[in-house]
Amino acid sequence: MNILTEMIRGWFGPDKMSDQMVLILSAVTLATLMFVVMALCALVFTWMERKVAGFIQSRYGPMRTGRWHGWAQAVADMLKILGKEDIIPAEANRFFFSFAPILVLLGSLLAWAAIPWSPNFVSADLDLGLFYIFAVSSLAIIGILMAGWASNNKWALYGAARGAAQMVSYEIPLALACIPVVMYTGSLNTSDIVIAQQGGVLNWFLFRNPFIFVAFFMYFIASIAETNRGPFDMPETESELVAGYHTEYTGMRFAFFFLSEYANLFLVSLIASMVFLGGWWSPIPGTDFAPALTFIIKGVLMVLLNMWVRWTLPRVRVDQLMYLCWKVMIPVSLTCVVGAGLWMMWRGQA
Amino acid sequence: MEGFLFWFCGILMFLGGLMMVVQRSAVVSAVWLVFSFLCTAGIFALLSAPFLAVMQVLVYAGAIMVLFLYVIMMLHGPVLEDELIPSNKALWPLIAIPPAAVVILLVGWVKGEGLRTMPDSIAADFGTAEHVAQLLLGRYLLAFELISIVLLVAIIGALAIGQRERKLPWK
Amino acid sequence: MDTMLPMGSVDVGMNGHFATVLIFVLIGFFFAAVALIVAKLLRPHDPNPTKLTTYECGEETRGSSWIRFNVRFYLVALFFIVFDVEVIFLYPWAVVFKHLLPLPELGVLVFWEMVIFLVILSLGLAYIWVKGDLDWVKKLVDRAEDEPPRRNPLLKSVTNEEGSQ
Repeated sequence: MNILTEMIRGWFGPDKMSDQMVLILSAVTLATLMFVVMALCALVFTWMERKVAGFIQSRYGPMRTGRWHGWAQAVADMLKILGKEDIIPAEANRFFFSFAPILVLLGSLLAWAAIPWSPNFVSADLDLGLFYIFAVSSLAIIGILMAGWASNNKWALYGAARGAAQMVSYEIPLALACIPVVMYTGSLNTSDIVIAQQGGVLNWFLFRNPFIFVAFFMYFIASIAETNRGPFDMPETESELVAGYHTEYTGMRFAFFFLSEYANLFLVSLIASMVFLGGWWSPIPGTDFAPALTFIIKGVLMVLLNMWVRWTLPRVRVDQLMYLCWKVMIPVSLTCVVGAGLWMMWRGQA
Repeated sequence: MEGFLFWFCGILMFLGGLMMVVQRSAVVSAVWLVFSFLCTAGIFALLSAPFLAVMQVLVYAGAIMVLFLYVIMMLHGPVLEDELIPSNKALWPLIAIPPAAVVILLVGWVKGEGLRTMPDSIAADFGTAEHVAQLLLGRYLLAFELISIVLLVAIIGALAIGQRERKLPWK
Repeated sequence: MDTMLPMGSVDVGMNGHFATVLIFVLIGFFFAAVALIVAKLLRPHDPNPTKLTTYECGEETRGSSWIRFNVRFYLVALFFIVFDVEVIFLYPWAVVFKHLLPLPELGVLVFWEMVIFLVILSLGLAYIWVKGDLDWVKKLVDRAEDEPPRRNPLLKSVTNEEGSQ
């Protein structure tokens, strides 16, 4: 953020603008940038997902649009969606039907504000960064419930109710899994969490403490469920619920759901990279030449892992989903918190 | 700027609350309540209480609303049948009495006590997670441990309400 | 934060960062509106009553979908709130734990304060576990003991073949 404020200051001359104006201008720029990045990652990851799915299922995936491996397929899809008719069912609640996709989109965009891209580039350097991310991403659950309810469609309502039950359940292990890291950092600030992992791969929180190592897997499983992706794609099980909570959505409003789904996928991967995998630090100490790029590469690798899981494992049942969350992941995560505390008391803070 | 934002959030919060009360559909008013909660979070943030602000979003706007929506969805359709009966317009002035009483009391209180504004300077860590934790684990330790008991009771209560199928002990 | 992130010449207080969040909200709405307006200009608009019916796999739509729900969803939401509050109290504790740990006695005390808190709540989790409310499909043991299971007459032959249930 300070790069940006300095740039804006230099642009308009040092004393022409008040601090507030500089702040507002830089925030507007950052928000726009984050929105563009969100849209871009939706484009890139839809194409990537189709290629990964193709690879896993021994087929090609998109090959024609744009010639080279169908790279323009996602762009073409986006253009197609722009031209699709917007249908609001007669039985639906019009206001909430229109508002729900915006709320879901807003939930993901807001969470992106606290992501530390590099040592001096974080949009909103909140002291409560991590906590804030969990808070705003819980707004998406309300958006999904709203969408399902407003559609007045049985598939949509079931999908929304399931989705919300799943997302709220897995929010607990997700938040619990990050607590050992917060205990080591002594701060919720996202930049502080990354700074605490300086000094090569062995200083990443993943390898600092056996309990955090377990917590990482808890986080990873919970993050798949939070993004409603396979094998936890209960809210939109195509074979039973048509398309779940967005059954009735078409055109741009559907695109909002789609966009925020991929934005959230990248978001949870970036958080995994930030909290457990050293953020912008490169694995070998002293080689931090491109912090932002390192951070993004780690995020993309986590996304790939996520896709690999999605296209490999079969979907779980609702009862298995609840069993896994409440009887396995929550007790294990709680044990990780207590265990990390004992470890810190025994071994010091190393 | 902060003064403007304070009034902006305050007025939006008030409007959200008003919309919540006058809505006929329970789901719609629940959503207005979320809106009102979010504006409250904004006011907390402006009053240098970031932890409370984020907690307001997480617990109230997130958790409580999910529960509300479930309960409402579980119980009824969009509008209850008896909610469709036209209300008696003659009773409307009566509704204004309680809020008016609150406003009069508030104005009287402010006149008597004098309007206390925020102090010019507050401790740097005021309202942060560290500050909250120091209070929770020190001065308010008993209250903090009692919270866990309250939550335990809440779990048992939830089970008791949710158990329709099970045999009642006195039958 | 103070070591790595000098905020340039602009004094960005806590409120400054929340102001950024507010601007994110506004920009989010702005872009959503832009996207919807652009789509509105480009897309066809040709509704007809059949197109606007609720989708039910091509069948005629029957009844409202605003129906009663399984009580499970409500229970999950309630358990979620309880454990969400627990997590929220864990976070400030986790933030100060490292700073209080080196202090003699106090560090250990703070740890056990939280363990007591967690144990009491784990009792709650154990309680719902034992009561069987964490199972999505709960076995209705009590009812099965009291009254004979209601059989679908059409299935009688099948159940007889399988022996008594």
